[in-house]
Amino acid sequence: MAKKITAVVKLQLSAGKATPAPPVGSTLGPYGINMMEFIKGYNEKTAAQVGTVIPVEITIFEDRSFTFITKTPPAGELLKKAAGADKGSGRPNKEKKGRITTEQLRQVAEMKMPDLNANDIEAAMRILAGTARSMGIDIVQ
Amino acid sequence: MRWAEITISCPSETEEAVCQALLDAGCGGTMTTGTGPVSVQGSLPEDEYLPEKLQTLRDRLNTLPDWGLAPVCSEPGVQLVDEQDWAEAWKKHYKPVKPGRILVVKPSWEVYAPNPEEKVLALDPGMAFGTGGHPTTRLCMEFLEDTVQEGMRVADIGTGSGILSIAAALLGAEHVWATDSDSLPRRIAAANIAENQMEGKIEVLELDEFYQQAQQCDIVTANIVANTILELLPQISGMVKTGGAVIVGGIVEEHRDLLHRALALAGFEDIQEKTEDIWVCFLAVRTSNPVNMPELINLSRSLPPLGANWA
Repeated sequence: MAKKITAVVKLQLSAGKATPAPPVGSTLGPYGINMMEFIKGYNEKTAAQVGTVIPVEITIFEDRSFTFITKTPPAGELLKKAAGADKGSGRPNKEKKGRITTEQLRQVAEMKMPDLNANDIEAAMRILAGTARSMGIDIVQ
Repeated sequence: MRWAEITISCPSETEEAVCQALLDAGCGGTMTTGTGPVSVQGSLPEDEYLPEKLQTLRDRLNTLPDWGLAPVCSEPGVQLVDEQDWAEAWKKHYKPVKPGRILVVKPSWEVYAPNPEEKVLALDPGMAFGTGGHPTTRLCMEFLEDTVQEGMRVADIGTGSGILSIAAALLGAEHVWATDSDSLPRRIAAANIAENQMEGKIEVLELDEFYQQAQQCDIVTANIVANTILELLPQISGMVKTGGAVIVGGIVEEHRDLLHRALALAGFEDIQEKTEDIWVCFLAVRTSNPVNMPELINLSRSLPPLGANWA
């Protein structure tokens, strides 16, 4: 039946390893959606991608039922992979975690275009270059 | 144990960087809500490392403009929340509901002692299918209570959780055919039917088989959405025997008049309606009148679409 949407929530979670701990429990709990069913569904769907973060968009309806779709890995994950970094830097000014080329940046931007609020590939690359540098990943030619 | 819930408001172009900063700070995940300026949330356990982690996070967020990104809208908000049994806490939103006079829908974990005249269905909430909490499901159940009699043949189109099929069987239907265009609800409906020990009375079928078998029905229910109901009305009309009834729900008020006209064109009369909130549900009796196909097709072309915020 037609249903009114109460909220659309985007979560970034470890693939195959979601648990009821925050943020899943603390954020979805108040909406009254069946937590374990979401967790089971998410973990099953992302089991093959363990070790990466997979975003999920959950649509919650007024009767507290829900649907969800998984998305491509977040830009940060793709940038870390391209740079061979395990995590982002806590002090990106001083402590560098790696470097990527402009071409690699363009590839990540192309992959993430649908999820980014960017009008063209250049705008997407500018956002992602900022994201990369904020993680201590430099961009080189 | 307590958790520090960190909320950061930022322009959408900075969202990715903020999410990554929270993950790098040790958050097990992040949550984003809103558009335009978005609100990104993450949680860290309250322990001796928390102040240092928060400081590192603030420092990193402060550098965002250095990398050509828009700055965050404000300092991160930090709120301490008590650990709860999150896996169970959501259940407090659900209590047994009694839509009409007879049927009671309860979640499987609730104990409910029915009165002699009550009939209880156990249904657990979950993915996008009804549990009796939605007005249109309740209205359809009320009409089922008014119409289903012992030995009837009932068909349920767009069964979802199977709730209306189970209700019809509990009310005395001899056989119920249920279908849904999607395989996921068909599986969920089958599981709920088994949970309510109704496998002997209710068959969940794929569409083709459903339309072959569900003939000469006393009642057909379709709790879907106006557009789909309009499309299906000629078929529904052919499934209901003369003197039988159709129950259609999932219709918002703005589509009421159109659906009323469509029912008449599809050979139904004695059209009754129940409403709750913005929802309308119709019960109508099949006459021997033929279906006026050309007019029905014209009518379906004039159906205004629902706006955003609907699915």
